[in-house]
Amino acid sequence: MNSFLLRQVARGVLPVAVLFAVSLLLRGHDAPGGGFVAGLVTAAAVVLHALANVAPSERARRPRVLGSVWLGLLVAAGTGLVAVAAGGPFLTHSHFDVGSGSATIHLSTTLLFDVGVFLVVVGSTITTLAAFAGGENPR
Amino acid sequence: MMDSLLVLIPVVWPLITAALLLPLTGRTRLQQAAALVSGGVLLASAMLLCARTARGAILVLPLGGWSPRVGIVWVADALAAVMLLFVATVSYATLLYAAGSLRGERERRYFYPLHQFLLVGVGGSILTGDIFNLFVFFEVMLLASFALIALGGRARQVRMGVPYVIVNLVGSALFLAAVGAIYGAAGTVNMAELSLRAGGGGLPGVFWGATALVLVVFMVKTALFPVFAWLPDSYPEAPVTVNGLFAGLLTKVGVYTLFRTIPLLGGAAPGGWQPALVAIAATTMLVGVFGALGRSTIRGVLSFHIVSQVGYMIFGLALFTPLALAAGLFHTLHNMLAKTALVFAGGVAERMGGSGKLYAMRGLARTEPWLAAGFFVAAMSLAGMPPLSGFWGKWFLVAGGLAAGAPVATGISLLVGLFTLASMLKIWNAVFWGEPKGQRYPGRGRHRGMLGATLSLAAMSLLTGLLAAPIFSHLERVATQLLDVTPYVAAVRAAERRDDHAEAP
Amino acid sequence: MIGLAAVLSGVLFACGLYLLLSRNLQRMAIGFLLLSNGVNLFVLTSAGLPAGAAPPLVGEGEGASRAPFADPLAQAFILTAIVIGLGMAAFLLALSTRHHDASGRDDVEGDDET
Repeated sequence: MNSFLLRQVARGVLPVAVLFAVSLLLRGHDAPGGGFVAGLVTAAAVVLHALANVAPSERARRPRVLGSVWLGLLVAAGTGLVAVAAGGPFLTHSHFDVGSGSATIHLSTTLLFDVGVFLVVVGSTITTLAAFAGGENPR
Repeated sequence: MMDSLLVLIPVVWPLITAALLLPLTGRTRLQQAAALVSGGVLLASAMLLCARTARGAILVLPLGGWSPRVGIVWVADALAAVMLLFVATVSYATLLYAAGSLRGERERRYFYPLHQFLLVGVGGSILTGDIFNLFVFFEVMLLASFALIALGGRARQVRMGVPYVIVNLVGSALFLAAVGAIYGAAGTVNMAELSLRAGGGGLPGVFWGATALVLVVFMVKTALFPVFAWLPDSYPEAPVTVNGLFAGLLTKVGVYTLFRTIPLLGGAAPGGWQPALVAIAATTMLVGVFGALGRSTIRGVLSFHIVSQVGYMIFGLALFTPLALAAGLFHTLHNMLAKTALVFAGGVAERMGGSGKLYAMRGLARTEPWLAAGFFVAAMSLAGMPPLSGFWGKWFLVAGGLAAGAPVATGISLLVGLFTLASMLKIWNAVFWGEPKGQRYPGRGRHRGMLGATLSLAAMSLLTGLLAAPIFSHLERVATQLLDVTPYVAAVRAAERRDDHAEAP
Repeated sequence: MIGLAAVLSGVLFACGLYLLLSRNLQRMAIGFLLLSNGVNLFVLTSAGLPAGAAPPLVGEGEGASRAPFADPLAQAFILTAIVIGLGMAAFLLALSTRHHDASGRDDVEGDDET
């Protein structure tokens, strides 16, 4: 699709969507959000960007995001296994505070797990959608 | 920590392996080597788990330290350990077979990661302690199996695969709905808790209705009469490796879930389910064996026999005595080896004749004696000839059936054994006997990996038959443990952590 | 509320099953989506829909005892089921494109062998 309007919209949407995804990811532990939704938002923005800016003949090319899938799987599984190494049950998460006073940030290892989920979702969604974007494949 | 690792490995290890195999996409030789190493670890850990649980120990792993009543819990008892051992064995043989068997870039490219994802689903389905995660791992297994059955994507393969996909999707939807209804009625989805609350009585009729629905869904996944039709059409169209893997694993996971859930709830269930299940099992045996008579390809015949054999396993379960239960389990384990060996042997023959049609080639016994020997051992084992493993499976089943007072169904099982023998001899006569003819691609040396995998499975089937006494006495202990649900329930409930879990900030 | 949810979930079930029985792979995909949404609604309903219940979220400083709130476990079930449904739908669509590429048609014709 070669549309001026879509290109402009996509240009504006991409950074906002990524920022929104990051905020969803960060707040996911205590409020609605999390790695899955953040991944979907990011993937949707990337796909919108690709629809607007990548020529249809180019879209079929396998995007190089498969790395994000296996990296994400490893991060998520690794987060769970850290707890086992420490002697706790699999997927036990620990919490800690960084900083002091009003600058305290509450962190937990669930965030790492969510990052893993985020990577898997972004990678697999983009890969799947790109496979459909291949257009007509007459045979 | 050792215990929790043993419970984790069957699920987490294949997941990590899959993640590591993905970046190697396109380098299939390396992928196979890595998968073989990983499979070795899986096999070793399953052996250790078997040894650990042999004396009745039940390992319970609450994920994240949540209480088993609301959280996810994995439970490994002797039954789960034995199943995992045979799953690991069959999947290892499949890896050996895959290298020579998969054709073309399209089939090879994603086979190894998908195989690992399938193992994640199978391992999780075996270990999970609650029915919701049973659903989740079933879905993981299904999604991987959908992709595997369509591997290569030939038009005919997709067409025959569609019923498999649709039937299983509808089954899963009903499964989830039933899980929701069970949760609404009983307030938990943990199997041990459900068993306890069912035993206490006072659960509403909705609970038993939903449980019956769950059993129907398991019957679909297990391919029992009358919901088996998706299997014999779709399996033979898949690549041989996938066909063998599915024959060895998928329906057997369905059988396992029935063996897992029915003893936990059967004691408190409304009466009448036992004779119904016996009737279903006997009909399944008959329908499967007669259906196989009408098939004209090697793998078509073998795939229909999966249905028939599943009937035997469920027959043992339906009788619900320790002896019969152990016999059903023995038959399940025997079948995982023998059936996969048969499909693999059929695949080699198919490759040599250029077609899987019966009578397309003859006399393979003359030109390929080793292949013929492997097929013969596995086929006679399936038909129940002594001293092979299938004979003992049937022997114990007949003993159990007569002792439990089910002479008609026992008679049917003997009759079906006769037809199975006839069916195996039909393949033998059509493909292996007589003067060699029609072999277009004789495989001397070219099919070494495939032949090796076939022969080792056949040898293991032989070994299982020769070691029937110790194996069966172990399975009798497993069956006794299954029928007495108290230790299982107690072990799961004891996993409740004393302190508040780490979630509170 | 429960009556409405029951009717809605029944309608979704019926439409989903009807479409799944079609021979057209894209219709099957849509049917599957309807069916899985019907099931999700059913699970939500069967866990109870207390009138005026709060979402299962506890804010800063609030006690966990603030009742009544909706059952979080059922919602976790549905969340998981939605993710799985997404994967299955993606597979069905991929299957339909692959089938179209391989055979040039949208529908799955009948079986010619048996």
